[in-house]
Amino acid sequence: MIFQARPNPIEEFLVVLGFWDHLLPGFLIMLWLYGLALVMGFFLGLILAILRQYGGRIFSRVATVYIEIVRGTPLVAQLLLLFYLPTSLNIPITAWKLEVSLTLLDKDMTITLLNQATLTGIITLGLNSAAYQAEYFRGAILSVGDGQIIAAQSLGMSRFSGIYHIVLPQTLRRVIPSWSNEAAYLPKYTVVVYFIGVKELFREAYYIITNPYISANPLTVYIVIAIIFLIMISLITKGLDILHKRTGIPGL
Amino acid sequence: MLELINVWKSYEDLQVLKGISFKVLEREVKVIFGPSGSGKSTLLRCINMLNPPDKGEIFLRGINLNKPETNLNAIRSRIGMVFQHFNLFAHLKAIDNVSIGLRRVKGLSKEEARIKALETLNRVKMTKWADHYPAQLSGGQQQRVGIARALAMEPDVILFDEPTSALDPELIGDVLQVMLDIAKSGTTMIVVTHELGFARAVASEMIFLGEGTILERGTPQHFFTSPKSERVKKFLEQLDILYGGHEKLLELSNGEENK
Amino acid sequence: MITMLFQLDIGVVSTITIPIIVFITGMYTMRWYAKKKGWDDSIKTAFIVNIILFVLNIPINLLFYFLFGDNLVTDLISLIINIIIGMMAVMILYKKKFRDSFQFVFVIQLILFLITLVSSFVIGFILSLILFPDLTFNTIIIIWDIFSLIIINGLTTTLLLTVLGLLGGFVLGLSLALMRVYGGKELMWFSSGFEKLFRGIPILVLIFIFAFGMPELFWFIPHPLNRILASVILALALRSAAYQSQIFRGAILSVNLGQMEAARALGMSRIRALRHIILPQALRLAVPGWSNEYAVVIKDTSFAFEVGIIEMTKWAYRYGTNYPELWALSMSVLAITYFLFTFPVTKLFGEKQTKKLKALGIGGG
Repeated sequence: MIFQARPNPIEEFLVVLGFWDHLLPGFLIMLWLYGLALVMGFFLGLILAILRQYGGRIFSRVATVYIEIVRGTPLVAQLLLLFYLPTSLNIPITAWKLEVSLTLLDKDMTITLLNQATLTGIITLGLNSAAYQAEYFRGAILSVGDGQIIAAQSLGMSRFSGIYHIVLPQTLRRVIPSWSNEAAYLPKYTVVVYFIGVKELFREAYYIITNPYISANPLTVYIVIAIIFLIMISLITKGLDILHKRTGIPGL
Repeated sequence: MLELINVWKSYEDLQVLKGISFKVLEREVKVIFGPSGSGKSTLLRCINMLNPPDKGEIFLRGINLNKPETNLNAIRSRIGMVFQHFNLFAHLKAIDNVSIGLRRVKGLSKEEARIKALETLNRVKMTKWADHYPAQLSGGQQQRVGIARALAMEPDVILFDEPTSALDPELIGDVLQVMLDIAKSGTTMIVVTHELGFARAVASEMIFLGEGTILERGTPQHFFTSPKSERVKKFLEQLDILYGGHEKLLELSNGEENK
Repeated sequence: MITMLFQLDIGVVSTITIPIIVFITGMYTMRWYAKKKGWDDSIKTAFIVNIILFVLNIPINLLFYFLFGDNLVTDLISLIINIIIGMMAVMILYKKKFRDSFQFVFVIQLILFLITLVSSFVIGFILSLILFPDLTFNTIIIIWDIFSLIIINGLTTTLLLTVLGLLGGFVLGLSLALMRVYGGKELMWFSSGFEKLFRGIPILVLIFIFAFGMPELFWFIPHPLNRILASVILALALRSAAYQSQIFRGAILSVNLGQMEAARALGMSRIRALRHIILPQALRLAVPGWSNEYAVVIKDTSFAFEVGIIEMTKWAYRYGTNYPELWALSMSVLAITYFLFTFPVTKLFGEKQTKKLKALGIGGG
């Protein structure tokens, strides 16, 4: 019944693929956001987890508060908060941007690497991811056990040295299964920035649908986007799985 | 060389150590034993200041460990520790476990550390397993690596925290053998253990720790021929039964039947 | 730092009070830190060091400010010079070596920076309370305004979406989990595929697919807006099912293996054993993961406003578009509202439950 109005799904599919010159930049932007947010979340999250475990009463509390608040509030609220923060503080936003152009198969594409919206998006996603990654790291640090750092200290290592040389390597290896979870599913959350105008994959889809000169079935477009995400996530999961098996140390 | 003066320590509301004092001279082997919960592990962790005492003072070669300006990391590199649960660094091979202290704390070069580590592994008879990870070693093997790790730092004294309590019976022998060897070669040791056979062989002095205080102390001969307090006598009896003193066990069960 | 003070329109009062506060706290912090490291802990030394820092730093900072203007670079240069002067003062007066002095000064500078930040906010707040009581009072009223607006108008829809989404996810998820643990190969494949599918699609895309991609899906619902509502609930339920399936699968598997054996040995059929022995324990074990899922779903409902559903986020958004200056405030209030609904639940039913359960002997493979 639903498919009645679409006599030829394959044709529709091809029409959508015809817009690859819009989809590709969107996809690349999504990768860009994902990559930066993941890296930012990794380092910040690791620092937060270490502070939470070894930081002493004050820093430990601060880290915990940050993690609980970021994890307890919706991504949308965080994004809009950071995006409209300059407006609230009466700081004017200049329209600056950092662009990259490339031409492929006779189609010109410009990719905006950075502008106000994109930067806000990256920072929000990074700060958000950091809180979730911090929880994974915390679990891994706890599973290392405190016997390790006691042994390190008994040799005369400073606390810092013990954390850096003994606990950290083990934590990083132990965290791979749960961290892969976050790493694989983070691309999904990059979609949220479409709302503030970043031209990532979903926004491009929106453009295709709302363009008055093109007739494309909205459902097909969304399904194509969904499939792209599915493929990407499966690839990342598989890749991290292989990495996990390759870097195995007996006993970790 | 190592001196404890009136050490007190409590956890929450519980007084674990109540005024412990003793001296350890160079090349001495002190064996501390007693019922569990009497604070033996806590005592060791006070000595290397992993858990500083609430009151009292500890001196290592004249240096007061309780003063805030003492560099505790440097002190700890001169006090070795062997743990009940080995605590080997799981991500490092045996040889790296032994050499990491030398490299990161004592500042030896990679080559020098490696040579010294191999030497020490040789002493504990683990050279063959130098490239194995802890998970690939049996408990006894892991503990021997643990001893090597402490030994390689050439400490003034090595603390042993129930080193064989977590081992299967067959593996205990090897570890005790290594400990005997290093005791005979002149290492200063403080050993918390139930292995009284070991104590009888090499201990210079035995200390019975009960309810946080030293209840009795003396040479091994003293303890095994004529212990003074009832408590100590009872404890030794129980240990005897544990390690296969059948006669005592039979006596007891016969006594129960005849009641 | 100094330019920040001049910009505060609260007046000369704050320009004087804040440096004094920073100086005094700085002095005591320095003494505390020195004592902690076992150095000279007299207040006199701390006082002298701080006086030197103060007296030498201010003219140098002002010099740079006037020469090069107030921007990030001058701030940085001033900071570096402060640190150098501080280090020299510490080295001389505390008689410590280079590395120790550097660490000391660095930490003190950090602490002083935070103290300055915090105290300027606090003093600013207190002063504005005293000098402009209406302003602060107004702000509090506005916050309450936004909060009640969001809750009164949006909470019911948000809760509706959450409850129905979770419920759908529960029924579907539990079935999938049972399929995967006790079903045959085909059921396993189906369940596994379902999970992968609905975990791999962004929730927003899923919502759009059902709301705008398949508008005829809920043809039997008269009101078009309610059709969108139903689509959103469907999307939430499907996604939640995929995650709940994993939670329940994990919970079922971590019920002690011996339990099923013992039940069968008593003569119970598999289904009986499931119903009376395994599931009760599994459901209790699933509580922590499930409370987490609840938090996820209620946060996901915030995406619904982008397809036209009027729930809490939409109201906060409306408020922001109407009063652009209050964007940050309304978004913060929104965030805190969600937080009030997620934090207590996850704290109450989270990790502590796992410990209690382990103590009772339930779970642990």
